Amino acid sequence: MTSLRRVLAPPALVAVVAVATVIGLGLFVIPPDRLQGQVQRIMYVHVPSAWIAYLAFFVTLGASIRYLWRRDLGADRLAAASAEVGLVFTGVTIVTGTIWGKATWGIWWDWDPRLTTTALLFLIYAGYLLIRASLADRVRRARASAVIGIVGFANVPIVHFSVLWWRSLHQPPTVIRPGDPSIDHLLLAELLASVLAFTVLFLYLLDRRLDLERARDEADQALLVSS
Amino acid sequence: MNDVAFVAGAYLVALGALAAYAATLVRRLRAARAARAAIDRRGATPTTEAATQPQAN
Repeated sequence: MTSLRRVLAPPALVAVVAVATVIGLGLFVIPPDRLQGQVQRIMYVHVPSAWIAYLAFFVTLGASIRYLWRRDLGADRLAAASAEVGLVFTGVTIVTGTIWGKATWGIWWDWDPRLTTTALLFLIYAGYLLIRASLADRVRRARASAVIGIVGFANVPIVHFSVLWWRSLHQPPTVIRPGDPSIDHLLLAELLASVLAFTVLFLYLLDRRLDLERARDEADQALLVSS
Repeated sequence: MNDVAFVAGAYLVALGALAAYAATLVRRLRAARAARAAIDRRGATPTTEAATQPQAN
């Protein structure tokens, strides 16, 4: 686990350089979209943030299952850390989405299926963290949050496929969809590069958040021993 | 507002939020480690959120 973390956890500088590079490319090098114009550039932060949120909640799902299976507190810490980072990325997704919506639809918010299910996703994982903070017993906290981490993930595919299942103001998927991606190859390359850079940033943030969770557990343990 | 303002706003909000979160993580981690060190040194009452969380039974 430690050696795996050493490989997966990038230094802050690598994360910053990766994100700065794709932001620079997305803002100044890649040409604007033929139909949407400049405002389409929001896609390079909005879509990666959404995908990273999915990834983070998937990590929470896997770690929650592992906790319930093995009673491994390390898995519980990973689940909690990933949920918080995922919540931040979900918040970024929602805010950048509202800005993009105002620019293209003329409104900041609409209760359409994609926006509503994404807001619900935010609330589910905010609730996950609130419940963790409210439970004193370490084992009860881990068990309750594992259940929420598993059940809550059910909303992720609903968010993603909501634009296909229901009539939606939000555009349908352009990359993860039946058939070929409906996006220009250059724009797609920049989008995938952005996803990669945001993944590096996610791994950095997750590593830091995991350190914090471990430090808190150690402090709690030391306090128990000393008292 | 023109399109460039929307794009600039979205990037500023996104990158600002992520940078602020990263900074918060570093600060919270330092506080948790300081609390742990204080407990180890003196067995003293902790002073940060990390060690003031309710204890497991």
